[in-house]
Amino acid sequence: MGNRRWNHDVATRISKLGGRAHGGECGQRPRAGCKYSRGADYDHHAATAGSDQRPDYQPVVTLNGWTLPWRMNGYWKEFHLVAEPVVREIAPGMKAHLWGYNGQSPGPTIECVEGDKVRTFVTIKLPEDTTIHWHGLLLPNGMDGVVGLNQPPIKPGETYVYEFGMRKSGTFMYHPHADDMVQVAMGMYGAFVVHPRDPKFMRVDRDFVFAMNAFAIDPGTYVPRVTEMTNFDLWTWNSRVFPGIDFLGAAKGDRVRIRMGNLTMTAHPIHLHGYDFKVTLTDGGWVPESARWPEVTIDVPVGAWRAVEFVADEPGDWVFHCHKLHHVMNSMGHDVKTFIGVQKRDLAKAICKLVPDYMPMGSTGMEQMAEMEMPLPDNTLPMMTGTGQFGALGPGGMTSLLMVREGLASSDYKNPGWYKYPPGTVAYRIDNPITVPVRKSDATTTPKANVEVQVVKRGRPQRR
Amino acid sequence: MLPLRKIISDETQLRYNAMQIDMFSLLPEARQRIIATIAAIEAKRAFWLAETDLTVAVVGDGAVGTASDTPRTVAAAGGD
Repeated sequence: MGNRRWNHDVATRISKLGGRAHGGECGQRPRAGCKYSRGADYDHHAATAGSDQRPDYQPVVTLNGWTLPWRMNGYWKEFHLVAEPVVREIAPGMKAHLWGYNGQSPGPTIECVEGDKVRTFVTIKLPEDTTIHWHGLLLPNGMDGVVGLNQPPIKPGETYVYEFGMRKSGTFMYHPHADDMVQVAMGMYGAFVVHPRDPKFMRVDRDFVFAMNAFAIDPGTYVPRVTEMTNFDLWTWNSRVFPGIDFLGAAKGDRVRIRMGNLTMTAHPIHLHGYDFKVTLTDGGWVPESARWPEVTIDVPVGAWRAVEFVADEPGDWVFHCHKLHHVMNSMGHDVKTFIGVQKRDLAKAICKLVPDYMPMGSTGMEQMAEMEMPLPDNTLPMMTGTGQFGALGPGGMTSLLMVREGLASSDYKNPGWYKYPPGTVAYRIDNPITVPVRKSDATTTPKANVEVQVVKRGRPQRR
Repeated sequence: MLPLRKIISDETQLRYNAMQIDMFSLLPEARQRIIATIAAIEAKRAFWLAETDLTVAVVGDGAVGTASDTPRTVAAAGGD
């Protein structure tokens, strides 16, 4: 290894860097004690405790993910990505057979600093060729990774090297640019975060990052249907859905940044409850202060990144979700008929004779889906799920929570548990409302009994 | 119920529970199940008739022999 200088204590963990994949191993976060996980599956970061070297930036926290360790080799910061098949738990109860990098879909987040010279080794352990495209990064054309155009394909078993300097800070991503439709649909993507050279510039206390992807995985199957274009059933953040997505914890008063990228085939209006925020960064660069406007929902276009910032000054459990509400559902049929207003009591009796386990659903809406637990097909998720301190929660898909608490330690990213409401601050039931609600004078709440439908038929052309 | 049909029925019910399909998919499945069951009964009936015919052919229908020798066969053949 010569006089190579290694990044903190990862030397022993990735001493096989030269040849063997370190996929599947834990990732290190370059900050002591910065632990972020809810499930045992994702408890990657404990190993960094005791590291004495801290980078001169606020490291990002990748939801249900990790930051790729690197080593210094002269002036070069060296990373090693391995493209390979992986098994990803979409949420407890469902696993998907995907392609990813270094043991996970999405791949690990690459973090570096503006001005760094970055060398990335890319080893292919997939059954087909691939490349890596560095989406949004400014680089020499020969490093852009478009197969056939900028470079030959990287064949299974081969390792290629990409070398370029970080010309600016921001949030970018990497994904294949060979058989892209299939490989991205199989889960190949990862975030690429470049921190500003000036550590004080746009400094925040908590910096979260995730990318959105969508999968079409039929119940009982494990591999996504890669040709699907519109009818996805799993709308994921970092290949996870609610309730499997890490919660975003913040201490009251923290300045929080959330970086969001979109690799699906539709835009996602991401909405945060209880706060307004400003968009401070796109993958094109930092937004000048004079050009930032306040929002509560920001549309993240396809193939783009947005970062929003706010001060977490209001404690509580705040929902954070895509506002395309089909995207806050898990697996469900999109051809299911609507039965709202349809009385099925008599019908139910008749059907039960034919289908003994039949239970009428949907006559009063679908909330019962969130409240009932019924046997489901193998390897799928209930369309609505989760339980909060007041009962069934009901969302799925692209949903997480911003959990703001007083006095959370700066390194504490554990789930703090449901918010303890101060007495008298929760909506409550009242049995005798003192006012009579005003209604529209000609309000109609039920269909009139004597509705008559007049059908006017056009005269049929006479046959002659 | 037939084992294969039972698997299909059970899976259909699970998909209904998951709101992947609605009752308009349950009903055709029930119809298919009933049709399959009827077909199975018909097939069993055809089998027993054929087996009886075979037994009669092998043992004889009693017309050439004495009736007292093969009372069981005669009784079975009478069911045809």
